[in-house]
Amino acid sequence: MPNLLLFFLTIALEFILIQFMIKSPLKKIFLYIILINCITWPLANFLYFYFIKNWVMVEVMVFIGEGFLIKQLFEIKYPRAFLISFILNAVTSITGYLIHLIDIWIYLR
Amino acid sequence: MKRILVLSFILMLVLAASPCWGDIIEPGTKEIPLYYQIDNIDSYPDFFFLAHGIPSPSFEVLNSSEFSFYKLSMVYIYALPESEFNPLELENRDDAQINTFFQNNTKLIKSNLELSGSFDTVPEADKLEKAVMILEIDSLNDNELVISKKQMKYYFADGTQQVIDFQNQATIPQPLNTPGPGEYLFYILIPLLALGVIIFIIRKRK
Repeated sequence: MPNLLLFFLTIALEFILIQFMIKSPLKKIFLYIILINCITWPLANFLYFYFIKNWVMVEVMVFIGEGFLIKQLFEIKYPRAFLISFILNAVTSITGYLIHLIDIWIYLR
Repeated sequence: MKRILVLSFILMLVLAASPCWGDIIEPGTKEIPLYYQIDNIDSYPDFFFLAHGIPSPSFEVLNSSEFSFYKLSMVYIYALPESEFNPLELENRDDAQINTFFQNNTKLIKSNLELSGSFDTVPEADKLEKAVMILEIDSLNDNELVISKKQMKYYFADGTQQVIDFQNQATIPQPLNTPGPGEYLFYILIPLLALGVIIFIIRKRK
């Protein structure tokens, strides 16, 4: 089973970031971000774990999937939805990568 | 803005098409060490078996135990008649002398098989922990040492093992990796429930 801490960290990061990009009640944003991640996060891990052993490819699929979901839920246009999705996933991916590097650094110390 | 998006997308596709991480482990993955074991080495008591590779090991005397080496090394197994070799002599030499020994010693019998040190990288959550390739000496005479790949043994974190025979020498049989019932619940049921709620929200608006 993947690390659930990363799941909650992803939700927290995306929730913080999206507030700067979409004007909407906080409760609504929080619910939508949870729903979006409840779809993309488990599916991304499932694909990566059993089928597509390529981290970047899975990230691209998540970016596209979240783009569609953001468009539908927040009722914004596609270009803006995909730009938001790109920013959210770029930040969470880089954060995940940094956590991985810190893990290695702690392990090597 | 469109240009940035298009360029970013192209960059991601390029990265996805050629993931080249070299000696670095890809984020979210772990490296599975590959060990080797020669199944019938005890059937040749008149020979020493040595592993020698570039950049390492400089040399290792093999027995029936498992052995491994640095993942980027290229390693061959050599046989040497017992009467022609004293391991202690080699231990006292430096790397350059050992390399010369392996290049020039006419009594050494080099195997047909080149061994690699890494099995694969798998996602961190994968239960696979270790892979062991079981080798078998098919023939050994003064001129040739023929070794074939017999089986793969896979060891998992839950203590289970899988032993899979080689069907052909070019392809390593892969472990059977299937999700457990709890994993299906997490990976499939939660996304379906979330999708159901999203569809409900969108329909309710209309």
